[in-house]
Amino acid sequence: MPCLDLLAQLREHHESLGALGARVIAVGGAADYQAQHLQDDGVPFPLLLDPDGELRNALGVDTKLSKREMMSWTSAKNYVSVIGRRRQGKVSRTHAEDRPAVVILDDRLKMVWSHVGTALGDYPTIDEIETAITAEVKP
Amino acid sequence: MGIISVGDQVPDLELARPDGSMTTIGADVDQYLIIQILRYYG
Repeated sequence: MPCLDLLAQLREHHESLGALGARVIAVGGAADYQAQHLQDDGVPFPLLLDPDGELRNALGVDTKLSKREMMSWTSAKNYVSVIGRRRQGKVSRTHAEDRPAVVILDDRLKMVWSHVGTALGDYPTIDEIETAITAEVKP
Repeated sequence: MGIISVGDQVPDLELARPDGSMTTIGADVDQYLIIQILRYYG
C-alpha cells in the first residue's frame, strides 16, 4: 500500500534527509505490534501511535476519504503503482487507510509545508519532500 | 476543525511508542521534522 511505500522511501532516504537537518517520524493510528515489527526490522526513525487521533484532529486531517475520492482514478493508479515495490520486498503488507498526509514542522513546531491527500495513497514524492525542505533551508 | 495552515503551530502532543512508553512530537525535531500520517503500519 502507498503509505508503507512512502515509509520505505523515507527509510531509504533517511540519511539524505538528515543531511538537510530533517528528522522523520511516522504516526499511525493503531497496530502497535506492526509498528514494533517494522521498528525491529530496522526502520531508523520513530514509529508512533495516535489511537485517539489527537494529532489528526490537531492537523484537521481526521476526515476519511469520501467514496468519490476512494474510487478516483488517482486512488486506483496509486494502488497499482506500488505493486512493483511490493514485489521488491520494500512494502510488507496491504491495508486500507484513512486520508494520507505529510507535514513538515520547523524546530518551533510551526508548520512550514503540508500535503493532505485527496485520494488513496496520495502522498508526496520524496523529491517533493526534499525540495520543500531545501526551499526552507536558510543560506 | 479545519486543516491547519502553513505558519500555524502544532501542539506538542504526547504520542505512544510501540512499547507503550510515551514521547512528544517536539522530542524528535532537529531543524525540521517530517511527519507521515498513516492509519495502520501493516
